[in-house]
Amino acid sequence: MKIDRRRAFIATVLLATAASSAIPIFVDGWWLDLGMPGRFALAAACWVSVLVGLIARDRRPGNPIGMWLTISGLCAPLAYLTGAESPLLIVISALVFCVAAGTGAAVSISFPTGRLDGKAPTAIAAVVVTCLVYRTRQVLFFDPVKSVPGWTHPNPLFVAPDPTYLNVFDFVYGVFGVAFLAVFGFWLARRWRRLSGPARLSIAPVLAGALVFVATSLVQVGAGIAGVHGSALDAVLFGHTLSFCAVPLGFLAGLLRVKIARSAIADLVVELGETPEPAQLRRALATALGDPSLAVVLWSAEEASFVDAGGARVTSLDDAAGARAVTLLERDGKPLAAILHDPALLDDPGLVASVATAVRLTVENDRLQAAVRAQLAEVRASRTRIVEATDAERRRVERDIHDGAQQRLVALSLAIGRARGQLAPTADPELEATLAQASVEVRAALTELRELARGIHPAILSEAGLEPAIRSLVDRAAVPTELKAEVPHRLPAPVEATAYFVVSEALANVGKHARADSACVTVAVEGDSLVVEISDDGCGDADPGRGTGLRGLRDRVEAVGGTLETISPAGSGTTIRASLPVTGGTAK
Amino acid sequence: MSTVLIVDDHASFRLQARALLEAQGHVVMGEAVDGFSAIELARSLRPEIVLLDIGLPDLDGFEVARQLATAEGSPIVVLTSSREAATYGSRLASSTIAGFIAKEELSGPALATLVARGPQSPGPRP
Repeated sequence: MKIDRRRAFIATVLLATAASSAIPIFVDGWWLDLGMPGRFALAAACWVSVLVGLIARDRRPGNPIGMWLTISGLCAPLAYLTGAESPLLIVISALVFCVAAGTGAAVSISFPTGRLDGKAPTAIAAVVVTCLVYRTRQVLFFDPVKSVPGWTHPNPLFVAPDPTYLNVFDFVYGVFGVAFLAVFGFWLARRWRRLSGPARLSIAPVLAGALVFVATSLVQVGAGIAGVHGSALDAVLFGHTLSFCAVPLGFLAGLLRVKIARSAIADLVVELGETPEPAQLRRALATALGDPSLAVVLWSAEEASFVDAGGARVTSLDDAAGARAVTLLERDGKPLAAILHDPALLDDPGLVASVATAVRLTVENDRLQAAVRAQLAEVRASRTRIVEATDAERRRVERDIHDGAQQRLVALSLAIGRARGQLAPTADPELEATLAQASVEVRAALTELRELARGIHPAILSEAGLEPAIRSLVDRAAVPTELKAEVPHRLPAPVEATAYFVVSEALANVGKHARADSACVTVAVEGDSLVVEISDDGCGDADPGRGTGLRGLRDRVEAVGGTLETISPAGSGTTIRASLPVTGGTAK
Repeated sequence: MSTVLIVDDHASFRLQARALLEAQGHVVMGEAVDGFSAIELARSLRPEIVLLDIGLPDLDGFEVARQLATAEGSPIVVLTSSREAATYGSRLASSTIAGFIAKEELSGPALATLVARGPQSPGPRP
């Protein structure tokens, strides 16, 4: 329903514009003929004003500027029907001229807010009255038949004036007109000069347009006083008519510049990367908006206060802001950040929203990243703790086996040895054989128990150190293996255990899968890391993603903050390389 | 035959070792359950041989051997353990140790052989 009404409105306006813009082209209406280029310029100005007005109304429905632009555009051609034959049309044209001038002035004066406060209503009234006086003089005292070459329709409202008074009036009024335009131009220029950063984007083009219009108006009034005629007058009229487009085009340029600034701000967040520093963000925003005074303060939950870029507390935002405006950003009702900026930025709510979005994204991103980092650190720490706890548990089990079952079996073995010694020489040989078997069995049990205990935790690692422990692995390897080990001192227990398990698992893989003829193990301290490398000359093609062996190894290595690389091209052997940080000994 | 001090925190081992060694002609002068009492007993009893377990509750066997070696007329130290010699790597090559014998290998003759070979015995395999 709403959309239909909007469409109907737009269609009506466009039809009216088509009709209105046809007038200067098809109707000889003015005492001062514009010439064909001037007539087309008037039609074009009509369309530009109406269309830009519709765009403006669409962008900011609550702002009257769009409506004013549309009205002034629609009125402009009608305002030039001074040469009609009907007296009523002439009067209407004069009034419409005042409306077009008044709305045009309102746009230039109140842009961009559309608010008519302060001296604005007086200024607009002055424009309207000036135009009214000018047109009244034209309607009553102008004789086109005498003044315009080739014009045949007499002015139906013509009143023959006393030429002396008329000349004096025209001179005084011309001077007044020039002064009035000069004051308006001066006011526009001053306003332009005072524009600060972000406001320049949208307001400057409109002011420039209005200045162009004032300049061509001055030329036209000057030409009238000087009595310019012929093709020079045609050129002046053409230029003046064309300058009606200047304000709406300026408005359009402003919209585009703001749009560009907004997308520049959107790009900023991307350009600045994942976590721009607040200072970096501030600089980028200040540059994009042309507002060097822009500052961003962030809310600190710990301080329960805003803090500035230097980390200092900001007790009062208003004091910190000074002449600047404050835009507060909140999330779930809690403060997130505040932007201190040129108040002119507030004239463009869209731009404020863009800046706010950029800051919010950055701050939120920063917080999320901090939260993820904290979580990751916690997960890493807990993984390290789990590995350490598991290692401790394995050591305990190994010791329990050593102190318990193993000691019992040792005692049993010794007892059997004693029993064999106690046998009389005449004893039953079968008994002797049975005891010998028992001795063999108990030793086998001891050996198996040792193997089991070593699998749980290699006592050699804590008793003798990493190098002998790895040497014992190399000695038991399934293929001939060379060892190059240089570990000058003891390392943190988790690092030694991890290095041991890497070699143990890798050598087991060599035996099981690699179909290798030989292997090589290198252990060395390089800088702050213990580097363990196991390479073979087998079939390669080991997939770190498949199976639990390499995956589990990687988990263990990463638990101590290290990295594990697997280089295994098909047919060219496998190299597994673990780098374990030695300093601290635990995960980051 | 020799006089022996047995040092081990496991009673079952001390019992079996004493019986075995005594049956095979050695004289077991005493038993100690930890490192400090071993050093004390070695001083007072002056045994020729100390059969010393490596894993003790206070000092480990290597440290006890080192301290015993500093005393005058120090005994011959034979380390023992229920773990394999390889577990201890090059630490067994110390000059204060006459040798290492796995617990289940213990016998009077084995001990006598080690002692006869004297200190600086070759360590375990590299």
